[in-house]
Amino acid sequence: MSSTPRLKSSVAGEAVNFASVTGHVAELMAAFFDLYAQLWQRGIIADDVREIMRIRNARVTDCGY
Amino acid sequence: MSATETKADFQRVLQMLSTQPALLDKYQLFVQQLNSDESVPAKILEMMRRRIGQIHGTASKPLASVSPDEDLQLSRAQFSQFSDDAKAALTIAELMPFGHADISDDDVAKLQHYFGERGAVVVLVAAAFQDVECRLAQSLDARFADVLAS
Repeated sequence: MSSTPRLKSSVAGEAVNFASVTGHVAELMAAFFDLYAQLWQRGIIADDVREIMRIRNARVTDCGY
Repeated sequence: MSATETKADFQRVLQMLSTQPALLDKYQLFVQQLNSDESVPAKILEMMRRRIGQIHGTASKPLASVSPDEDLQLSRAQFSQFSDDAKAALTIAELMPFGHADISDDDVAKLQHYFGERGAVVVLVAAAFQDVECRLAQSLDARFADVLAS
């Protein structure tokens, strides 16, 4: 696993992060973030339960988020 | 018929999401955006999906764009007969389900070389979400099996 960015930012001068890298496919990621907001902010599962699930999943998969 | 309409895993995910219409609409829009991107050849994306489905044991009948011989090679994780750009994408497909932390800087550099920055993002997103679809499909089947057994 790399500890340095592998892809460039899509926006000149902007830090390399998930949004700026995936911004290379802006229309795709706009659809992704719309889906993500629906899933995480407007669902029927309580916020605290979702957050615990998210954190546990991130730990299991070595994700820094 | 589009590629996604023939995918069993995709159909099972849609079946599950049908109980949440707003989520279903947004998921379908996202997948349409992914499949309509022209930075990566459609056949390469399909071979990636096939391989990830094979790894999870959820792959069904291959699409016409993938020949029986190609499908056999995919099922054996033997990628030598494929083009260099396909091999770069299939390396990601091979690792995404159970070895995502082993995807190397060189693996991603090859994606950039063959598909550009945009195509590299598309390959990684496509592999990740095919993995998601397989996991969801398996979870759904397990749930149905539990219901039938009770």
